[in-house]
Order: sequence, then C-alpha cells, then structure tokens
Amino acid sequence: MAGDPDPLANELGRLRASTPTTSPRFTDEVMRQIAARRLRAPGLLSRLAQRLLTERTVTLRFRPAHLVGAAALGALVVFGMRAHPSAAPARERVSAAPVREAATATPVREGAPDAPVLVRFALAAPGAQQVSVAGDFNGWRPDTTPLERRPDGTWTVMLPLGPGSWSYSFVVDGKWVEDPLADGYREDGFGGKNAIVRIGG
Amino acid sequence: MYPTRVAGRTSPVASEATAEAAQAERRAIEAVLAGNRDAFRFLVERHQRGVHAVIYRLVHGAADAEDLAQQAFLAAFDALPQFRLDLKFSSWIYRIAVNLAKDHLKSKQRGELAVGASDGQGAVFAGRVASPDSAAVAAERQRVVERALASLPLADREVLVLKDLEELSYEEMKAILGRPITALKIRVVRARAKLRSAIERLTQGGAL
Repeated sequence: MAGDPDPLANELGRLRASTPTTSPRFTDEVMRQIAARRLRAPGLLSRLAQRLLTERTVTLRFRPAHLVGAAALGALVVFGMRAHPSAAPARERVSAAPVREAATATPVREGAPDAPVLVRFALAAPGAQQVSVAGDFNGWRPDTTPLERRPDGTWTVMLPLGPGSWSYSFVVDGKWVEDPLADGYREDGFGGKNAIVRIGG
Repeated sequence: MYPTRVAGRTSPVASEATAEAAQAERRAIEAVLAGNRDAFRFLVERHQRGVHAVIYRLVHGAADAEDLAQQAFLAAFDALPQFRLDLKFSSWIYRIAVNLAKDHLKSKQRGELAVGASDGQGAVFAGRVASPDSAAVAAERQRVVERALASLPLADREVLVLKDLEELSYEEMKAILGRPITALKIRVVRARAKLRSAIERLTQGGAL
C-alpha cells in the first residue's frame, strides 16, 4: 500500500466528497424488494436465523477420503450455536488432520445441548465438475444442495441442522460418494451405507 | 486472517475495527444464508455509498446510478449462496456493481462517449476567466476534473474510480476486475495521463 504521490490522484480523491449519495429511501427500497422475493429455502432455515447471529463454537475435522481420486479429502465442520451471545470466543478443534491445519484443541460445545448448529460439508475434489450433498435434510435430492468450489479444489456448503442424527452422502459428478470417516454409518437399504452426522446430545 | 482495509479510506490503526466489521459482515451473511433476510440490511447500509459512487462515476447518471445500485444489492442477495466467506464482501459487491454498470452502458450504447471532453462540452470551459473567489475556483477545477474523468474510455475510468476515488488497494481491484495487479498498475498510470490531457484540453482556454 505504498502511498501514491500523484497529485491528480488526490484531486480525484476529493471528487469522492462531491459524488452524490444514495437517497434516504435506498436501504428500505432494497429491503422491500428483497422481502418481496420468493423464499429460496423455506422452513427449517428461517427459524434459525436469529441464532445464527450469535457467536459459535466450532468443531472441525479433516479426514482423508479415497473415493474421488487419490486427492479426495472429506471434511465436516460443525458450528455449535451458543445460547448466549456473550463471553468466550469461538474455539476450534482439528483432529486427525492430514493437511494444513495443525492445531489441536478440545472441542467445546457451549450453549444448550439441543441448539441448532451450522454444519459445513466439505470435500476436496479438485477434478470434479459438480459436487452436491444429499441427505435426510433435503429429501435426498442430489440437485438441491450444491457445494461451491474454492480455488484450492475444496467444495463446501454450510447447512443449519437441528439436533439428531442425519444421514448424508456426497454426489460427485453424478456419483454417490460416501464420506469415509463420518461420525457413523447407516445401511442405505440398497446394499451400501450412508454417512451420519450427529448433532447435539 | 481478516483484511486490514475496507473499501474507502482506512488507516492501519483502524485494522482492529476493520476486523470486527469483517466479522460482523460475515455473521450477517451467514444469517442471510440461513434465511434471515433482514440481516442483509446491514450489508446494504454498509456498502451503499461505495457501490453507488462507483456506479455513478461509471454511468454518469444519478437516476440510473441509484437504480443500478439497488439492482446490485438485489443481485448480491440472489447470488449470496455463491459468496465465498473467505472473500471480502466489498470486493464481491463492487464486482457486481462494476459489471452491472458495464452491462448498462453496453445496452445503452453509450459506453465510451457520454458527457465528453470532445467538442461541445470542452467549449464550456474554454476561455473561462479566473473566478475572484478561491472556493469557486476550486469548485470549478473540480467540475473540470469530473468532466475530464467522464470523457475517458470506460476501461480507464473504472481503474481511476476504484483506485483514486474509492482508494482501493490493487489487491482489491484485482478481486473486482479480475486482472493482474501489474496490468492494473499500468492501466492506472496510463489512465491518469489521459485524464491529465483531458483536463488540459478542457482548461486550455483559461490556461493559455
């Protein structure tokens, strides 16, 4: 951020002050239009909204996967919602980390044990074209919950889940891919098994 | 991990506050993603000045700019599930804003000329006598700079608006415009040179 000595730049900087601002109605108008938009994710999500604004406890786990080529890495991050938005900062735990993240700390689940949590589903699949997650939470529809690709080839999505045990599976380019190191597994009824993530309790 | 600079004028001492702001922004985004639309208000309030200013300088029209700035926020809202939390929201919304402005200019076929230094408009300033009041002189000078800026091609205008008006870093400009920093630096230098000659053209009557 080396300072720019160009006097012309300073002159332009002064123009900023003379740039008209938005009308006083601007924010309200945007919010009105947003409110009029169709709900994208009705039901479960909106109930959790306010609680998502509170600080969270974080549990993070990385584990190697083997199904999406040699480079696959599945990860599940669970954000526990705190009951009170005061005090302690978010804590993070990384266990069995084969990559990058080095620190290990004790997982902390503060707040009510039945608090909803944000769960980050992540899968390192640099070669994949499309990754989604399907499970109990979205009716097992493989097309409703796509993961976003990050520059490092990791695909992630964050979902709020209530307490309980949720079955899920990744879908990579149309193929069902089980998370190899999930909290647990459950028979899928088709001769295979689904990963489970347990929230609360 | 948080950037030490938000859009606009920020000194290094502000970095802590900036980190907090970035946290708050992130929480707001997560809340919106979880279904709390009202949380988006925070983002609108926080970024409307910059978004509007950038669009205003690119499209030259207050009415259009207000409308386009609103569209930018609505587009951001719709696309929020695609927002990566490791990015800066400001870079992202600026990118949307710049792209919207460009589309608008293209659709109106008035991208490169608009209010120009060329011909007619230049005559307004030519032969101007010095104002007795220094504040008036400064204001006049500012109008000239403004006019000269508006006369530049879009590609020059956009880098000057981001770099010199909004005072963004090259890192941020890279995130917004998707071009390498080296190329952006060169573009800024050239754009300033063009601006300088545009200013001269506009003031030559008074200067000589």
